[in-house]
Amino acid sequence: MNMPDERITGAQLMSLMYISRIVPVAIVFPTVAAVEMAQDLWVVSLIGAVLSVPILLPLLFLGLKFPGQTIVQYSQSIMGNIPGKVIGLILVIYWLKIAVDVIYAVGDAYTIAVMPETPILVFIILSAFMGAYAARHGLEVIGRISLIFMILVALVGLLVVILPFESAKLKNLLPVMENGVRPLLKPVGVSLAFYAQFVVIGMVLPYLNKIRDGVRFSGYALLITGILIILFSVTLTVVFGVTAKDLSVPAYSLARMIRVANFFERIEVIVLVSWTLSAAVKLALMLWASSLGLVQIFGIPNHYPLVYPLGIVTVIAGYLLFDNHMEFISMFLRSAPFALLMVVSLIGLLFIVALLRGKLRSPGGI
Amino acid sequence: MSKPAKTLTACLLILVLALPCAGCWNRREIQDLSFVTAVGVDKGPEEGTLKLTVHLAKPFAIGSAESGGGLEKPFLVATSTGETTFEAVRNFIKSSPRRLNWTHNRFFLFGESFAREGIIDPVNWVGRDGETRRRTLIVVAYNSTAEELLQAEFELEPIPASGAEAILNAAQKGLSTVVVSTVNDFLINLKSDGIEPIGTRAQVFPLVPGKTDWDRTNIEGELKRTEISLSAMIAGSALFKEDKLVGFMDERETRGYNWIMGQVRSTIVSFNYPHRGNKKMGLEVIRMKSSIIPQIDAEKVQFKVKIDVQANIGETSWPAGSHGGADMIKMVEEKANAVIKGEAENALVKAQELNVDVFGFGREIYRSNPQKWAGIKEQWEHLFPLLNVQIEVNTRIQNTGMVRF
Repeated sequence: MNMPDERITGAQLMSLMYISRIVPVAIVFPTVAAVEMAQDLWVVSLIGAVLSVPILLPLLFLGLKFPGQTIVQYSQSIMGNIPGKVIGLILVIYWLKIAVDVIYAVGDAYTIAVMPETPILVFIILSAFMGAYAARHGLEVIGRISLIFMILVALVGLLVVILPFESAKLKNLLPVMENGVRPLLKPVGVSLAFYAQFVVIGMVLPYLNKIRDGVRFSGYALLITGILIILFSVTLTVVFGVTAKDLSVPAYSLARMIRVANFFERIEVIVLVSWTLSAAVKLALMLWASSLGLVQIFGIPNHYPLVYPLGIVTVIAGYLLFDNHMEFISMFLRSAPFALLMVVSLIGLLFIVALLRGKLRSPGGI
Repeated sequence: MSKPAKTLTACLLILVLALPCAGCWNRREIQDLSFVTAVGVDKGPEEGTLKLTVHLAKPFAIGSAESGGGLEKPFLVATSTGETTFEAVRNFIKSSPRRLNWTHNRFFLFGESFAREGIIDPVNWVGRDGETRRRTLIVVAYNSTAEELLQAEFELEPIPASGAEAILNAAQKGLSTVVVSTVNDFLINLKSDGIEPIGTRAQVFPLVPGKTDWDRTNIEGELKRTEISLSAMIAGSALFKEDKLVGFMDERETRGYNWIMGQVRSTIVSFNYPHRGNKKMGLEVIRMKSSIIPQIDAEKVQFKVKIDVQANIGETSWPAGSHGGADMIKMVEEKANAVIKGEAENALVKAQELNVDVFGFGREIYRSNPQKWAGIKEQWEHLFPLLNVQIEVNTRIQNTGMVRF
């Protein structure tokens, strides 16, 4: 295969993971819709962040054992030709589904928040074009823009978390887990379903300039996203109390509450900036991963001809699949456990089979 | 890609990216907008309709006040009716050449008779719409319609909404006889179990009292306005049962509410001092805090409210330095304890008479003991009016001002 010799740094890997995880939180935050009580939200975010580590570890381990191979390639090495390709295809479809979710979420959020009369198709096409354009230029481009955008998005995130303090009432966090652990299962599943999307770094790891950086920087990514999401959950609950659960676009609503010293207000547009930038990066990453996956499954010379058609597929799917916001959310919440189960069992399967076939003994051993 | 193709792509991209800059479908030019600064809701002329009254800022009048451009008021009052809030909002289009913009609206006023029938529709609209804000303040017009309240102006501030906001902020900080309630607070309290929403009370009054035919004051200062006949007073609070107004608390009762809730920022507590021939004296409250402690056991639920107040002696109606030492301060503290406790109890009695748990005692039970709350939630309606609340006030006098006691 005639792939360009692309390299990304550990910090860029971190930013890709960070942005991928922050996109859903910054836009619709489906975990909010899944919790029974708003005050459970931060507990759910905490458990989700902790439980994401065992999902990520086998993935990193496999990446280290098969240097220079993407997850699509080493699943073929581990499982054999045909089963490996089936796994690869499932992953490609999964990434496309994530791209469809992102594309609809951002279009939906724009029509809810600022431009209700604009057809959602406009936002879907614009973001798909942005994402596909970046994806076509390869991982190096995506990595570089994501590092720049990460700083911007993190800054916006911090502002939105800290500045609404005037409306915050800490007592809204009580009582903690009134009905015990059971009601937490579903929202934790939703939260983990987003962490499961990190399976895409199986495509990114072979492009790291120093493979050892992968572990360190993905650890940083988990730490930063975990802390930010917990802070965001806390702020959401202390500001909106029981009504936090009713919000369509929580981050935007939170930014609308900002009013510091009676003059610093109406700054919610910065949230739109973070939506556009982060959704473009995540979309680019997913389109790039799925087109590269197809290349490696079917032995196509390069991924260039695939990117725009895949972009068009996501546009059509995003436009036709969901009728409205409520349907989008409920469909997402229903599919989340299956997505989580699928990713966890795929990684588990790959890991166990590799272990049984003795392919984990020496690095690069096939 | 070859170079010309690249250049062409770049140009096309720039064009595509430039398109949304023009604002797309929802473009709104500032010269086509009219900014709402306050809105009032009343019952409409027909049954089941409602009437909106808005204050619209007149930008050209604000600008012309400096250049001496006449006697124009910097705002205008417009009304519209509709079956629902949003319909009435849209009906402004019939009479307004400019599109109403709600992002700068600070007040949602309700006429008393409208509020008694429920305000959920307007409040829900504020929470749902993309232009209105959840930090909009909820005010109920005492003994009048919102439209009448919106006729009021303030002499030192040309835009009434700014004036009212300044008064509300200052009253919260310096008097603590008001309750500041935003749409966000209202929605949270409406949806939570064991607490009822509360709003601010405002009252319109003639600016020249004591005359039936109001002599209209002429003001020709910096503001260049002709007449102000009505002004407004913002003090007290409005109590809701769910979304329906059930009563008001006056200034003292509202301060009692604020004592219990720990929301008194600063205020003057005055009383007759028994150890000095019942002459008057006043304390300036510097800071305070309160804690509401539920005491739950198997049979009954009761509450203890601890109020800690730190105050200075602000005034006495006898000469300074004539009343001795530290033990006398103790007596002042005890007297102040009794006065503050009385105010807090009056507020409690008022709320219990109307059976509205504006303090959120029920929610306190829920927060500290959710299982117990699940058991008594249904009966809270009957339990709250008989709820036993012990109020314990602990005042500490820190200093006596520039002179000794």
